[in-house]
Amino acid sequence: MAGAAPVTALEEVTLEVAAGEVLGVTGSTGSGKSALCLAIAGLIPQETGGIIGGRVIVAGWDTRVTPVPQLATRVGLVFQDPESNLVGLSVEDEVAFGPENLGVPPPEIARRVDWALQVTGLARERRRPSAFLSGGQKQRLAIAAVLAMRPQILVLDEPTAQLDPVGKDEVMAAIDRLRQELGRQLTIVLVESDTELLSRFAERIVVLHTGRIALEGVPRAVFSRVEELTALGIRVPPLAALAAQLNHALGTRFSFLTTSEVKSALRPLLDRGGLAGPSTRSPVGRDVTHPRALARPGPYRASAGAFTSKHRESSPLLALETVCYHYDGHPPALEGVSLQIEAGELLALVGPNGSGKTTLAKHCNGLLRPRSGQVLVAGQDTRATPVAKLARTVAYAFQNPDHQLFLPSVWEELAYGPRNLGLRGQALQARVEDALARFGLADLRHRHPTLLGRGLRQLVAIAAVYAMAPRLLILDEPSGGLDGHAVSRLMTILEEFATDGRSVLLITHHLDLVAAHASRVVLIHEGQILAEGPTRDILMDETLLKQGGIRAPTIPRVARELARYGIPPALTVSELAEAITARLAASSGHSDPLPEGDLT
Amino acid sequence: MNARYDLYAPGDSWLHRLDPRVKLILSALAALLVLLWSSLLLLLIALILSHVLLALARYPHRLVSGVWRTLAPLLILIVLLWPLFDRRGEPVILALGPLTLTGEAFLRGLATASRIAALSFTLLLWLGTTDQRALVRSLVRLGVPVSLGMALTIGLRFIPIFASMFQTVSEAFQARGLDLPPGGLRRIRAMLPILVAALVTALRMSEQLGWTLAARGVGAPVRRTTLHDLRMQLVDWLVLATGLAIALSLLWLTLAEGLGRTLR
Repeated sequence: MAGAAPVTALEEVTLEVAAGEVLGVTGSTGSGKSALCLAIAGLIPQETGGIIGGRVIVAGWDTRVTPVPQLATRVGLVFQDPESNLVGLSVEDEVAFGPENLGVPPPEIARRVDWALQVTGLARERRRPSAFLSGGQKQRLAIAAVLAMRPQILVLDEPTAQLDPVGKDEVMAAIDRLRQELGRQLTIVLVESDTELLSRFAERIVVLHTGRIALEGVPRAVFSRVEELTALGIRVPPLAALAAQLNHALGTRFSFLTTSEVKSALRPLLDRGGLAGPSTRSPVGRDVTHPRALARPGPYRASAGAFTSKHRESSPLLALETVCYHYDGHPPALEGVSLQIEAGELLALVGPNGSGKTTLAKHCNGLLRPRSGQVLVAGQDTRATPVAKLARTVAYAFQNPDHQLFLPSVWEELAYGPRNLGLRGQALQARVEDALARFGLADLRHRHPTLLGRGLRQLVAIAAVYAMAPRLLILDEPSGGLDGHAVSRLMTILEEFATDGRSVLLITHHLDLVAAHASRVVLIHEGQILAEGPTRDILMDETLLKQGGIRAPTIPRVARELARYGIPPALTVSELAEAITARLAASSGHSDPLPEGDLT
Repeated sequence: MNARYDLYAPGDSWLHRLDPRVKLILSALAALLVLLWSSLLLLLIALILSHVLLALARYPHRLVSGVWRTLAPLLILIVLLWPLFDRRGEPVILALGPLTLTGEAFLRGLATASRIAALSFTLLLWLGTTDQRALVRSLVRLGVPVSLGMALTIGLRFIPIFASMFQTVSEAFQARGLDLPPGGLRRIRAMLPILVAALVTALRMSEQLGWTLAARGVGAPVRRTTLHDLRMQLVDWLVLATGLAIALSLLWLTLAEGLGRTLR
């Protein structure tokens, strides 16, 4: 709301939240989710400036006239970034900080601190400095810190967006405990772009779009409107997508929010061996026996294979040989890592926070140099080649877009990298225009990058390294600030990039993306490569993933639960939907073809 | 990666538990004595004593040797260069044209180095065992305004965060082909974009932090309370009394009787 570009963040939003309700809010980037949070806490308009029409009444107080510190006794607000949620004291002092500012008597503060630390599971960390906590712990501490102010409403603005799956689980478990303990005494407004998480926790969902309420209702109702959600740029929870595909193929009216719902809905059908009647939709023929019907290899997987075999003789694009690295005075961050990246690969690097993903990626363009072992980028040893020179071959988009945006226009920002590589005039013009068009940023070319919304800044930052036309593009958590539309646009670009014979190294916690797009996965754990191989082999090995400290993605897990009904392992929603329809069609004795399951 | 800026070692020793105001007063007096003394013997005793106290407080050896490593270049320079410029005293060890080396000048250099080391470790007794919060709180209780104390706390916390952010921004630019010349004006010019991006990020961060502070009740029109208010325990009074008695007697001896005012 503040800043040079006047933007309407929220427009005529009328929303009532009942006491004790758990409201889930989602929306694409720029939909006004964060503005809503700031408005509830009174920070809009009191701290941000800007113009506000209408009223926000929080537990009887008008946010336009009630000072923010006073509102803070009724509204607790937790932001996305763990660093900006904390003042930076010890765990205990951090929690005491709010009540101290409100002049709460010390014995009462002590009671509140005890309780808040217990409910967030941080009692054992009490004396530690908050700087030493993990991301998940920091977010729980932020929640504890606002809980100690005894708010009636807890507003959480994407509290898990910057956490790995383990941290996410920790935070959500804490919120769950809180609900059990306080029940209807606490109202929770949870803003999330992770709709799968929302579908499990919220009692009601509001979908915002360009500052207005686009959809509203109970999770089951909202998440069954898959087409509308997709059109709004919302990532549909995988189980909701599965239900939609099954409904489309079978004419059923499934709606799934949890794995157990899938099981209990499908069990009777699969037990009985099919649907009672013939499918209401006329199925399109497809050969069941053809392995491709289930394997669904994407073109990129195929091309990756082709490139791998073709280039096996020549030297790889990137080769790490028994690389070891440790930061000064710290235990090893990488221990004997060997890895090759071939041309045309879309390689995903997965693993929990702190496992060494970023350290490994920084070795690929010489930002870090191995203490022992060696890294060869297109045959050049990184220890003997300056980073600026390696940038011709390897481009790297950092996780936080703000770390790389500094020029006054989007066009200039995209031209910066290519210019450093020596491009001028027509060639430069063409390069930048191409990247602008591909990323859908052409209309924003004259805008100031740092004044764009988070999602757009992220796209600009990625487009800026893409424009360098590297042979290897490294992306660190690119999907963080992006909505559904932007993510699918980005993934299409990356796939084209790989088919073009260039390579992508994708670092992400978003395993659904990996499942759908990566040709190969490297699982890194405690500085060592725990496993690497085709996406399918890695992501469907639940034991392996668990060993590597990450949670298996939803769809393979559901497929495994259904294995005893003859459902084969599946990696993506379409695959599983297809397998289920095939199984039902086969056992209900249709001689004719199985229903078309491919609805993506 | 984020702990190196900090001399504070968390712990639960008697020195950690001692009221920070007592630590502040006593280490200030000790520092004053060390500054007044010229006696190599006394300075060495002070240096050894500070190490004994640090060891008793189970202050990690790693940090002690870290401080020594940081001081080493300075101390070595003093010991080496002092005799070259100080030609007073006896015995003359070497006289070569304008160059005169005397034994006394050598000892004087040693004493100066010891004084700096003793001063550092005396202050380390205070800073190394007092967390930032207690430190700021003791300053506030000794008369520094609360808002200044809070600004100090937050400022101290953001130094390492800004440092690592600057590092990341610099890496992001190198990855986009920014060639950083090894030194000089050209390097400073090349670093301009890094500074701009770092500044924008810092501003964004501080805006959020401002919101956090407001949402945590900073500025509420009430009298602030404190969970663990500093309260002098009996042991604090005892340490303060004993410490003051010793320090003030030494100070009196030093100023009135000339204790330790000469090298030997």
